[in-house]
Amino acid sequence: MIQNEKTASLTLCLKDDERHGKNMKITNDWAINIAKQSLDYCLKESCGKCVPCRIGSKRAAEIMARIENGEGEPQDLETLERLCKYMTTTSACGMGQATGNMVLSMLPHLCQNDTAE
Amino acid sequence: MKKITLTINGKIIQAQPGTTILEAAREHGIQIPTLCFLKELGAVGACRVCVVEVEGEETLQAACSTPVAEGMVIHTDSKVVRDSRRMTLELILSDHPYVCPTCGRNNTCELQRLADDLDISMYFGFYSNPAEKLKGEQSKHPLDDSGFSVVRDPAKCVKCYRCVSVCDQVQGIHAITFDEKGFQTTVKPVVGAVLADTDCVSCGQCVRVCPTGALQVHDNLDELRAALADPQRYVVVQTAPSIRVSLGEAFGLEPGSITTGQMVSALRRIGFDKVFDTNFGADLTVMEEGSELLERLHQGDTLPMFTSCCPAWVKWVEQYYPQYIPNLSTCKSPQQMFGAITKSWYAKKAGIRPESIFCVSVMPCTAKKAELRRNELAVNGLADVDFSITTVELARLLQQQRIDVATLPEEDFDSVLGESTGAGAIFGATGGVMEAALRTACELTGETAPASLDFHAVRGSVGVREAAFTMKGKELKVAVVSGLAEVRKLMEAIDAGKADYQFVEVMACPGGCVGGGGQPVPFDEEIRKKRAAAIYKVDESMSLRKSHENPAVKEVYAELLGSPLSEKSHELLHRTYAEVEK
Repeated sequence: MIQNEKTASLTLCLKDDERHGKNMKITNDWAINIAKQSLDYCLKESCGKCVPCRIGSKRAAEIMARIENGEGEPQDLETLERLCKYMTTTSACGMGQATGNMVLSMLPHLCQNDTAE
Repeated sequence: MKKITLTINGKIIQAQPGTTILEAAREHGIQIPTLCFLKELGAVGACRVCVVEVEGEETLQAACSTPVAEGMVIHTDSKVVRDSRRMTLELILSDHPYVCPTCGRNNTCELQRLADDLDISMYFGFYSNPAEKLKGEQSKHPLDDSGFSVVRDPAKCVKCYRCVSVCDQVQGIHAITFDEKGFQTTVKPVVGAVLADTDCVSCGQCVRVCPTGALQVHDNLDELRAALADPQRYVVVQTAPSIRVSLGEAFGLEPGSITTGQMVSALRRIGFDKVFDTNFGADLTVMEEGSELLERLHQGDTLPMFTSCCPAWVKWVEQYYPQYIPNLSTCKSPQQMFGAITKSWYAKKAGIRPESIFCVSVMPCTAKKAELRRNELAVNGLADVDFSITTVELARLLQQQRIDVATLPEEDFDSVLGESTGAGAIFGATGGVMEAALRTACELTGETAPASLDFHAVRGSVGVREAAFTMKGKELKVAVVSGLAEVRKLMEAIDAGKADYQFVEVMACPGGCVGGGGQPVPFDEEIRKKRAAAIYKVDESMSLRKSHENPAVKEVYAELLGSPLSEKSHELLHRTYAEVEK
């Protein structure tokens, strides 16, 4: 089965956190930067052949931007997680797969920082 | 070769080495959904809809492009696979305009069907818009309706590669290509901004393979509705040979169903004043073209002679091999011949002003829409044919009025331009024009009538077929070709002096008109063959099977034309060509 241990707890973490209301803002700079940079790279370098990389990276980048601008909603993180897992498993080549993995491994850090405050 | 054993969904199956997971699964009745895959064009692996889980692999594999291997354990419908497919659809839909009810491909769209198959509506909950979940920027590209045949709406494009592949591999035109990359990826004309700037010959094969409404036939049915409603206009319709064997498909009938009678009664119900047959025009074409061939052979004129029925092929010659324009038969196509006779001989006979006649054709073809606008195809400034619709458009027109072809009673064509022979009927399949011409030419030369009217050597679906016959003691070498990529190979051979044919039949679409760009979609080679088989069945069922025996054709020659290639024939039924500036 295809699973990613690092992100297995993410959904739980979001559900337990009662402070998640609207307009959640996450400000863990280093994690968000790594995620953003890998998405930007993918947006720039994707050949555009397969759907996960072509549209997936675009939508993931849009969600990231929303979160960063303080317009994110709790379900955005869930969608982002689902999207990145999907990019990892379904992309035709390493471009989309690696990008999905990269963002996926940053998600727990965004989350941890937020709940630790 | 030793077969490979693998397991799909717990079922142990055997497959030939080299086959893909998709082929192996389909062979054993296991269905895997696909979007970009089209058997005739080969696998691309772009859409990722056909992904399956292969045990031991970290990522999902595209079934269309992954070969089977010994001991593979495959799951085609596990949760991870289903979730992945749904996400794929969710993403495609997030970059697709929500205009299904007003889209020409509503109900025949493969994307729509797939969304239904994967139960996307349940997944999103009723009344929720999939775009809401993954809302974001949508690609914006302008609509291209520059031509008279094909409309391109890149906003609806799912980047499946099919149109580009068919234009490159099957037709060899290279009119459209991919541009940009990543999210900006788009299919666009290879030069200029619109299709009209390219070498596009309007064959419509891209329309045939497009899974969505990104490529559609140029539709202006309102103009036809207005003509039908106008009491001042005498609206005459002609139906091409291949419509009667494909129209039924749009009404749920089996491919290859012959619906000649139902089609005629359906057209009467729409309100056409007369329902005639392009097969009559085809018979007339045989008379003229057969005589032209004999004259060229006799006088040693430019050979080989090429048929000129196919407008996409005519444009192809004009733009790629203008030095071969003299080789094109000077005959107009059956559609145009029909129009010319309708507006001259028939108008006089029926006491109608030619100007009041609105001549409509139902064609399997998108290029016919462009053909009828050509200046050479008019007599005294009056266009032979005024309007052309495709099989698909006719089906839509009927469906809009709730006319079901499948249940209609059979009716006969109107006299006299509804008279036709089996020779006219077979124009709809590749090799048909050749066979019809041979039947008549053999008799015109005073050859003893051939024992069988079936020239099997020129039938079939292989790209290029050649045959040799003896006529008046001389050998006649002929070739039949369909699909423009095959045509190019043949033309290169002829140009290099490697082929010495006297007569060549050319159809731009693979399989001839039964495979035309205006035929009901989706269809593949199998369906095309069934339609062709039905055409030969129509031919066999006719009492008259040689064009020169058509009583209406005889009447036209007796009352108007005199004989084939007469001065009057040249005025009405022959044409000139234009060299296209490149």
